[in-house]
Amino acid sequence: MNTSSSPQGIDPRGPRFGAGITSVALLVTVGLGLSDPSAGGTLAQRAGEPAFVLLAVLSALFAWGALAGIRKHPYGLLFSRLVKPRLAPPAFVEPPEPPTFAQLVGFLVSITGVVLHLAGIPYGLVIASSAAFIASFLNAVFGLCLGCELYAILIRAKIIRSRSA
Amino acid sequence: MDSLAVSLLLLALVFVASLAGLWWKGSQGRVTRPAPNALLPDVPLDLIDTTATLTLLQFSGPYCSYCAAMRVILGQVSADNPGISHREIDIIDYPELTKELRVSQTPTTLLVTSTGHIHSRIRGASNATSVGHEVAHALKSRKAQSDEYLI
Repeated sequence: MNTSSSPQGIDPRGPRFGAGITSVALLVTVGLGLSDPSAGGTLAQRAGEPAFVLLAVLSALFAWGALAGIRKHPYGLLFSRLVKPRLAPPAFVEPPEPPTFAQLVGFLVSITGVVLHLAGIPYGLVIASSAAFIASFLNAVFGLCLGCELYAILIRAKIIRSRSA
Repeated sequence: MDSLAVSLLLLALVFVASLAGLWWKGSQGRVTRPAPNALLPDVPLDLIDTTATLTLLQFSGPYCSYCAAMRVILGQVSADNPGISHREIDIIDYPELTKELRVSQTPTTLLVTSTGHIHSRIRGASNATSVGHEVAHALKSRKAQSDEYLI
């Protein structure tokens, strides 16, 4: 009756580990963004702001996770090489598709912040980073992955089709 | 913005996220028992183990993070208690029943008597202790019912 888990499941603590690193980086981004949320100056000046650079890097990391899959994300590799060998085996495994989809959602949210900041919209970067922070914080601390829930809802509503089906 | 205001806003952000997480955590594994006059249909007997006193009927779904965890817990409870069976169905295979029984999230676990009557439901993931507690309650109320018939 293993209807809902694929045979090559992943350790659910892997994505949570990655979300922990991401949430700290996002909180720093929000802090840096808040100290000057006006998004003023020239395009080059805005693109050089620390908050912008950090969010751009985080967007690229989300894109990596979404395209290559959660297991090949740098944090996923870090987890399987350094953290997992020190932990007890997981009580259960989960399919890799939902957290991979969650990376895509994270990418869309963070790239929105990047674009809004380049367009000179005040607080655009701060709001997008805050939303992404809340999602990654919930994943890391409570084990609630909003992007994964969204994936399950979309599959159930048949809006997207499962790759394995 | 000065650094004090920034720190306060960051604290507020962490606080709001924590509240949301605690609310979610609290909603997981919540147990409800249907009122005696609730118009819930019984569970079809082919989905339960009619030879068992109680069937833990788990509704799982595609890509449900905590269904696998719940499977382990319910399997353990049924292994530890003779007369308790665990069955798992996918909501994709039973869309009508899922709607009729008002199962709105996965995992949802129904504690079903051997006649198909729903004693209680557990929404979301739970732990072995709470499941065991609810199972004990179901067995006790079932015993009280059969004692009534004896009188």
